[in-house]
Amino acid sequence: MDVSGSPSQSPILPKRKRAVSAIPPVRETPDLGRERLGRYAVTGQLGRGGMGIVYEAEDTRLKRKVAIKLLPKEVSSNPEALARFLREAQGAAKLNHANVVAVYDIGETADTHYIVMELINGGNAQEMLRQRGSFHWWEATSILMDVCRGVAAAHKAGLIHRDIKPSNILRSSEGVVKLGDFGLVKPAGIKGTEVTALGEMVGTPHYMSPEQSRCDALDERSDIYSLGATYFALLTGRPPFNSPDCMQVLFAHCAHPVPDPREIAPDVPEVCTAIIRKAMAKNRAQRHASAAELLADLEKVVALQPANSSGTRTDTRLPAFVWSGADPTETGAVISLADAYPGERSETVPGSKSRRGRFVALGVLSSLLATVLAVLLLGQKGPSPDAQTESSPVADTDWPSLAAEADRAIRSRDVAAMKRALAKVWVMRQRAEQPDGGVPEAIRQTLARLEKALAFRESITERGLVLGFDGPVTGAVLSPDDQLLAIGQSFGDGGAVVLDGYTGEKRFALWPRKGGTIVRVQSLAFDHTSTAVAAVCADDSIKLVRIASGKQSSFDLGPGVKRPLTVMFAPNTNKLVAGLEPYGEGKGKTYLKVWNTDTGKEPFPFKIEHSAKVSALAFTAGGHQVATGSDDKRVVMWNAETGRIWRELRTGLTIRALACSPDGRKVVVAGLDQGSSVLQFWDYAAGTLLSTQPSHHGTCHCVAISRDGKLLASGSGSRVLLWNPETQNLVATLAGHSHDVTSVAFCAEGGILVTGGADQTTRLWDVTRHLSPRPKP
Amino acid sequence: MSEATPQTPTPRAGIDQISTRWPLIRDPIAFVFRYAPAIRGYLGVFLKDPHDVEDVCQTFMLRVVERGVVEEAVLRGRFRDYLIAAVRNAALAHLRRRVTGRPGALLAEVAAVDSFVFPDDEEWLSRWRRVVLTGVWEALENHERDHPGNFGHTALRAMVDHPDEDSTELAARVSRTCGRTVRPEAFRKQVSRARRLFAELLVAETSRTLDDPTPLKVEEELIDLGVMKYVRPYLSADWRTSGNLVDPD
Repeated sequence: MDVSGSPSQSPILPKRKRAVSAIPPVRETPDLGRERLGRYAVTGQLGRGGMGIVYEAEDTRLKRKVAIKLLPKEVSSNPEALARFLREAQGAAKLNHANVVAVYDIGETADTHYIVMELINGGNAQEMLRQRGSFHWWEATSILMDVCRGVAAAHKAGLIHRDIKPSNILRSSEGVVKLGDFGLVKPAGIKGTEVTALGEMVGTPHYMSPEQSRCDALDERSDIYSLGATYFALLTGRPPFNSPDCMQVLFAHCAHPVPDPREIAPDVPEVCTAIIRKAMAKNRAQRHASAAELLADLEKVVALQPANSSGTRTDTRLPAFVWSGADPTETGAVISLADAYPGERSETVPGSKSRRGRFVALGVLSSLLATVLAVLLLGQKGPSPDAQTESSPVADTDWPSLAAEADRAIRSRDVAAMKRALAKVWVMRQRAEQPDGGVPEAIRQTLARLEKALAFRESITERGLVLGFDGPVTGAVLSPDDQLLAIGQSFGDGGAVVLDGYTGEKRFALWPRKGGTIVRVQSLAFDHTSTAVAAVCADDSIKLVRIASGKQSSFDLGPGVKRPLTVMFAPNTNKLVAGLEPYGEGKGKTYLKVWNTDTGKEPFPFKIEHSAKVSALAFTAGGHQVATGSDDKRVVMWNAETGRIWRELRTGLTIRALACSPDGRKVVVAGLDQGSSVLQFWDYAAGTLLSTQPSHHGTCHCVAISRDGKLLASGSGSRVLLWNPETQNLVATLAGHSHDVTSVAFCAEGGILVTGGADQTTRLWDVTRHLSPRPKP
Repeated sequence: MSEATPQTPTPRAGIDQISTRWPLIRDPIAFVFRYAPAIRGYLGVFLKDPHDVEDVCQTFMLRVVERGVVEEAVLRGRFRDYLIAAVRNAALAHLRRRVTGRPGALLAEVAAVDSFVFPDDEEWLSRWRRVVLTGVWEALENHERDHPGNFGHTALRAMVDHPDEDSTELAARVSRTCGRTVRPEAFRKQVSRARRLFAELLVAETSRTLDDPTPLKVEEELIDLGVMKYVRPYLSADWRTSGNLVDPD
């Protein structure tokens, strides 16, 4: 947890024999355990840096949490420095601005003095830069605008910050940007050698103005310089002059030209570069004269107004979604169920890091504003290189057309298309906004959905997006229309969670726990209309639920059936096929059943003869034929309408999973060959074996082919193997699950693979790269 | 860099009250930083690669930090002479390292480094002058900011930046900048005072860069820098003995 007014984070630099020691000594401050400072009860230490220690405390009188910073002894013991500190503390305490960390109180102990401040625990910008790299330029601009507002207020009150930098830009838990450490705890009484004394460096030099480097008198424009340098860092992830040697940095501030942030972050617009160049002018007379003037320049960026526009300034506050986001972890981006279940307690994912304070991190805003600019100024394509031609400019677009475009973009899962649509909807929102701030509900909802869909899609990377649950995931299946993602659980509360397939938000639960009754789902299937879900349950039943009405039913397995193993709906009819395990084995036993899900009746008596349990099913793309795989090592292909057998494949494998290629040419069989897991590729029409591929990592429980037939995924122990069905070559291995992969499914669009695992996670992977043909070496 | 056109006078303190000899300046490194733009600009004249310029700056700064600015016993004269020598040495060292560090470097290449001809002194002098004048303008502006009601810097700046405008036009311009009505007479008065202060600040700035800032040496330095014209109208009759500035008649 971070803290308001966190200690200046001096860079940890290698110690040099000859040069100024770049590791500042920790200033001597009394180290408190749990004790009181006046009416404040110290509850813990929040941070420690070169400028002292910061504690969390409780104001026992007002019953609120606060942050307390103890002053370094050399400030406390220096009367001149202390007097100046007190004057500045009094000035800062008068500041009452949303973007400035509030100073509540000052006090003293026998040893030192302390400052009581607003407790801010949402993290700081430096931490985010370390974690995520740079901010998108719109995010960076938004952050700096808020900082400028705080600085402007302070300058108006006669205060100069003197240490503006990313680590002093804090974020509250509500997402409000606040500037901390304001003009306080500076060794203001130490003259001249502040930046040159051997063995001592106050704060980081990376954001100091040239006049600070020269130890000249400072004014508000010194803060402007630091704001410009901070803006540079937010945009690029590094300070403008990035030498590890402090002297070099200070020299650079005095002499070197301001670097172009676009050399590091090419997406940064030229207008941002111009602002930085002006703010960081060596000659302070050439900088922005005030924080308000800098703010005006920044507002023009986000308001998309020409530089010389006049008239009423519109609301340029960015939408709240700017502050949402997921933290990536080593195993990929993690979204706990707290995101999918608004308001519910966060579920923990084994091995995942707990979420800390966040700034905007998602690629939601990547090139967004540039896209908006393009939409407004150019009227056609966005700036992204893979931009597709789209509809007419916003000015000519009616809302129904734009809404349809937005819907298409979401369904396509195409990031560029979603960004273009988002930009257009955002512009339309701006234009439709009422004087009282009201926005038509349809626009508001579309905007929200686009934002979420884009955020969700951009969270899905090649490393996998993890959705955590509290028990093993037994089936992750997508509805045929891609709109729903159902995840079965056999432990915990059981049932199935159904998420929005595009945004990842929880939509509803199926077979939720009722009292002590838990439906433990072992596998799931959607019907072809995406309006019904069937589940194989641990109580040896097959249940069906109609999503719209919630009506539930179950199917009679008949006598002699021990339990169902798998179910599958026909791709274009209301048939449900179940693979079964009967009591006993041998001919005459019931291994398969087919039902008409509307009537619940079996349409025809089954003559398919397997001699062992059937645990694998697959329909051909057209839905006319069904392949069933059994422990009897045979794949039987039969007519789904009549039940007549068309072909039989003797695989030699104890079959665990099947998949049919969309073009109807291949059948992929996953099974065990004397204990070893293998994949067999069969020519469907000829009935011949094309190849056998070993599956290296463990038993294969699941296999799926993408709807365009370009990629096949198989669970292999805890790994997911990706194959080219045409060449039967392995193209990639996805590592992330820590236990057996129990389900694989491809989204219809967008190159997304969904996998479920016994490690209590469902993961979404971006496999777009593997869908593209690779250049020949 | 635009330059002031001095005109009017007022008595001021002599240069012997200006701060001490530059080697004893309390903060030599900050002093080096003051002239950093001149150093970098000069290096850029003959080191075309900006990376080379930064490397040399780095080497130079390391040397300054290690050894200090210079030993008092060694130093005589002007800081800019010391600085240019140190900068040139740092540049040569860098060039030598670059050549000798390269496998297959020819003797001729090494010899070429040793006989490297630096740009003439005017290159250095012009950059030095620019830094001095920048410092003076900045000091003038700070004076305006520290003295409410004073708009001398604004007025002088306007006059320098818009030489073709008369005092009526310039007064109107300054009125817009300052947000209050400034009559032409008030404008002229402010310009006059600003010129006087400019001269004083220029003498102070120049004196700081001299080991022994006697009036004669200051005068010589102002002449060398080409800025004497801004101070001459304010030199007292006994300038060479007293170092005093006065308001012109």
